[in-house]
Amino acid sequence: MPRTLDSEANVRAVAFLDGGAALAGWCSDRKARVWDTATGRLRETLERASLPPSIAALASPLVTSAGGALTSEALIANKQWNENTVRVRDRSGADKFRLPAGLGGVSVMAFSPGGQALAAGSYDTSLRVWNTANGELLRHVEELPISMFAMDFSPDGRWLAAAGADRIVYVWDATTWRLARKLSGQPEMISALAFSSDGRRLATGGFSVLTVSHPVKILLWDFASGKPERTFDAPSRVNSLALSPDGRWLAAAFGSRSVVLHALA
Amino acid sequence: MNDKELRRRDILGDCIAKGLLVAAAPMASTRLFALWQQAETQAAQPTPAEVLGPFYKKGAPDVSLLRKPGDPGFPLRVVGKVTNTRGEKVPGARVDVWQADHAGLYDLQGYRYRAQLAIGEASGYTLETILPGHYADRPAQHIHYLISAPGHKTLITQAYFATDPFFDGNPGKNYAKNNIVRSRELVRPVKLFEQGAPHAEITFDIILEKA
Ligand SMILES: [Fe+2]
Repeated sequence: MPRTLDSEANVRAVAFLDGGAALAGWCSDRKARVWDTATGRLRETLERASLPPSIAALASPLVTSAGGALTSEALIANKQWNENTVRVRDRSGADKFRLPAGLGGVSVMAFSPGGQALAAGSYDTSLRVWNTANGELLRHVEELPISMFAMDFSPDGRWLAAAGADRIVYVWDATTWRLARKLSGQPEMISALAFSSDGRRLATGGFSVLTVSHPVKILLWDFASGKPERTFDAPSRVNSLALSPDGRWLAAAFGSRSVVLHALA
Repeated sequence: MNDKELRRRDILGDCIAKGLLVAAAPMASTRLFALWQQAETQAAQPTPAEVLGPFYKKGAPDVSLLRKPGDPGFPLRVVGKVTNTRGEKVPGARVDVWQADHAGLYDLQGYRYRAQLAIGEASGYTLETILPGHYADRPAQHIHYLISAPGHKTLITQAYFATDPFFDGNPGKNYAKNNIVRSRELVRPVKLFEQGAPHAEITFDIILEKA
C-alpha cells in the first residue's frame, strides 16, 4: 500500500534529500515541507530563501539549476503576438540572457544537471536548447507534433527526455541533440517525468484529457529497454515525480494537500 | 497622446478645413472628425489575440470539411477572409484551426476537428464543422486559430459564439467574465439557416499585421 503524506498547502513539486531519507515538497504557500521518508513524519517547513541547493530547483515558477547558479523564467513579452522570452539570471539576480522561445507560452523548462544547458518547450510545439555560457542556440527542435508538458535531463547529462499531450516520451541524445528514442505506453497525456539518480529508471505520470481530477497512471520504465516495469494508480493529474537515490521510493505530487510514496523495494 | 497622434489630428483638422475631407450627409465638422478617427483606428487594428492553449498540433490536413456524416453536434459553417491591416490580400497565408468535438474533447492522437488551410488568391476560407463542446478548464465554446503568412506577424486567436450559454445572452456585458475571453470582437454573432439541413454560421475575418 502506498503511504500518504499530508501537507497544509497544495504540493506542486517533490524531490528527495539525504540520499532518500527525506522528501521535500514545494507548496502553493511558497514554502517547502520536508518529511522523513521512513516514518512519514513532517521534519520541517522551509522558506524559499533557506531551501538547500539540491532542492532549490523545485521552487516554481522559476526554474533553477542545480546549486542555484542560474535561474530561468518564461515571460510573454507581447500579449498581442504571444511571443515567448526566456529570461536567464545569475545568482545575483542580474539578467544574463533574454532568449526568444517561440509563441504561445512556454510549457516546460529544464536545466542540464551541471547547468551548462537550458531546454525550453513552447506551446507552439517547438523546443529549444541553449548553451547557458553564451546564450547560443544548440538545438531548435521543430519536428514535434504537439506540446511537451514535462521534461528532465538524465543525471549524467547524456539524455534529455520530454513528454506531453501525445503520451509519447521523446528522448534526445544531449551530445548530438538528435532524437534518439520514442517510448510509448502511458495511457494518458504525460504531465510529469523524472529520471532516477542512476539514470536507469524513468518515471512518468499522467494527465487525463477529461479533467485534471480524473484518475491516471504512473509508469516506472526501465530506461535501457524502454519498457514500462511497473504501473501505479494515481488519483488525479500528476504534477511532479521523484525517485529516491537509494532506489526504494517513488514520490508523486498532484497539486493537492497530499503526497503519495510508493515503496519500490 | 503621443506626437504621432497629435500630428494626425492636425492633418485631419487641416483636411476638414480645406474641404479635402467632407461628409456624405450634412454633419458637424467635430462629428466628422470623430467618425473619421474612429473608422481609421478600427481599420488599422489587427484581429485581437488569444491564448494558444496546450493542444495545438502541427501537420493538420488541408481540409474544409471537418465533420463526418453522422457526427454528433450542431452543424456549423465558419466563413471568413484573411487580409492585413492595410486591407491587402495575404496570399500564402496558412490558417491552422483546431477545436474540441461536441463532448469538449480534443483529438490528440489524430487530426479530428483540426485543419491547416492554405489561403489562395481569393483570400477567403470556409470550414464545415460542428459547434465545439464545452470543457471544464475553458468553459466558453471556441475555435482556436494560428495564422501565419510570409511578411506578416503570426497571429494566435480564438473565435467564440454569442449564443454560448456562457454569455447569458449578453456577450457585450459578459464576455470578460472569469477572464476567459480577451476581446468582445472575438465573440461572433451566430446565424441560423433552416434550408436543407439546419446549420449555424459565423463569420470570422482575420486581419494580420505586417512584420
Ligand atoms: Fe481550447
